[in-house]
Amino acid sequence: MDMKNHEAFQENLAGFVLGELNEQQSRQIQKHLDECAACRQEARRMQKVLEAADCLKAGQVDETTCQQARQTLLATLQKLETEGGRPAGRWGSYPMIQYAAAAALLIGALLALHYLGPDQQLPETNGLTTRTSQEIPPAVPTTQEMQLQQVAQCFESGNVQGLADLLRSDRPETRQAAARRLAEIGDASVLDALETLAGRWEGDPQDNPYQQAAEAIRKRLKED
Amino acid sequence: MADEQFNNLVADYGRKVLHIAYGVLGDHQAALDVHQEVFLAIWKRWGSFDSQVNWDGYLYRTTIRKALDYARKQRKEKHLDPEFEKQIPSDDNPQSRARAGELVSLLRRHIRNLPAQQAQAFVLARIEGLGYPQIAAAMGCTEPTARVHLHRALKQLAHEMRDVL
Repeated sequence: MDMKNHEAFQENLAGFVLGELNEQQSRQIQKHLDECAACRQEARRMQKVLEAADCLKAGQVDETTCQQARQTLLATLQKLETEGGRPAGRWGSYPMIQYAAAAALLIGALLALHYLGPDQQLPETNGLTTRTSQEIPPAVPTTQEMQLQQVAQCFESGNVQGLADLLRSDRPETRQAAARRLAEIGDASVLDALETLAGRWEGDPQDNPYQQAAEAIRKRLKED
Repeated sequence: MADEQFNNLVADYGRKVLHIAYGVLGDHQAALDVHQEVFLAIWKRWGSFDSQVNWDGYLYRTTIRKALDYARKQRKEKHLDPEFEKQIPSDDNPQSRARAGELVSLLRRHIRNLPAQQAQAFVLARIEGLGYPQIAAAMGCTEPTARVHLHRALKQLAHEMRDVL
């Protein structure tokens, strides 16, 4: 056997096994394989590798796994955002803009101190009328959406503790949504938490969502 | 808006990322971990991405790299995910099924030991089923280079597994 040709055939063996060669090249390789046991064995091994690799391809990911992955990711991101780990946005890498933003925040804080006074408490409201420094619309709307989604999920799964935890959210929309859902469930264990929040409400008493939720739960307990 | 874009990215590419990670690692939980690592890494750098970024290529490369890193960190060969093993095409003979499972497990281990570009080319071609133009685009190289990486990977794998094939 011509050793030079043998090496050339070996070079093309992967292409042959992968079906990338044209008809003439394939015929030449096939002819060589009929004569060369070493190349024949090599080609057979490559073919076996490809067959085993087909099993890797066969492992499909179902929708449940996709959803599980997404929920885990969202929960982690939410946790990171809560801990202040949110990365800088597109402008975050420009120092001058960062300084300008810091200066604006400082001026805003000084103005707020001037008009509110140091002893004034920031009231709990419905989040629509009087906004406070803590009630400024969230910088990351998706966090709010994710929390509301959590409220819905806890409600659907009857997770009272999860909803009770969401009552401690720093976002009024989340707290109020959790309170409404807890009212629908009617579990007495959250009454204290609702009463505490109701006591902090400084909006229109008629609109106090926590008081309404607590009353709804009591009413339901009496009916039962 | 940025968050909406990120969420869309996760929705559009999440399955693909899981599929690759699952193929490389063969473990359900490991695939979920890699999925999280990949998207967390993107989230942390979200502001630095160009609006014209080629997410296909970036995610293919990143996922394979993260999956290989994950396997190296584990430093031990995991058992096949039982759900995955069910899908190994073999006849009803238990011995045949067990052998097919061993081969697949061994193949995974050797893929992880390949040079990075060969591993990428092999995974993209044989797990993702991509053609050379797509592999080249994902890897940021020319088609002939992608072909060379795949051929070398196949040759290397056949060599490494010669005792069991």
